[in-house]
Amino acid sequence: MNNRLRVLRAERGWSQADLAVKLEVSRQSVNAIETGKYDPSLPLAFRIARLFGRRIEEIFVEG
Amino acid sequence: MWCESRSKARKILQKRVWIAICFYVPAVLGVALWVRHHPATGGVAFGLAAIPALPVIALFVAMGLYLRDESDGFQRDMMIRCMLWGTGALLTTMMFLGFAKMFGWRGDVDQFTEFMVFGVFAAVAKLTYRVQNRVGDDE
Repeated sequence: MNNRLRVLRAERGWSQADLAVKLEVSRQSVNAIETGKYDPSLPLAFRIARLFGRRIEEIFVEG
Repeated sequence: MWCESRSKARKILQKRVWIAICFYVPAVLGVALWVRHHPATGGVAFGLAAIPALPVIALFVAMGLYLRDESDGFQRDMMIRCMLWGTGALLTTMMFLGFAKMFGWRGDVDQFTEFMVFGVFAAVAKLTYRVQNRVGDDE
């Protein structure tokens, strides 16, 4: 699954560590999601969407 | 690069693992020494043999509780994969040795080989996944 997490994070000037703290996950997890190695769980996807003020499908796209 | 922030669940797991190890070592040594000086048979022998197994059970209960409590799905995923590698290697080794004995092999392997096989394969898997998922400098 592709996602726009890296772009959205960069727009806000957050580091991976910043985002990891905000999402209460490890930096490894943020990195794995950004690089497409790991698809987040539904609760985490909702947390990400809420944090960026977007709908889930605006951040994660099938592919 | 190698630093990982540990979740609350991971810290609790590490604490529980250390407690289990602290019981495991004296249990193994204690039982071995006891049996050497007071040879046991029957039910007593089975009871003594079960004692070192208790911390191992505790270890797996701790891992189960960790998997339940870990909110970081990626870390949970990594733990499950490592345990699968360990368990797969263990079962494969046991099956191979079982068949080898059935086909007439008279040799023997060291005691606690199973534990070593599980531990080594789980550790190698963990190291491999850490390298695969290493994170570079933060942007």
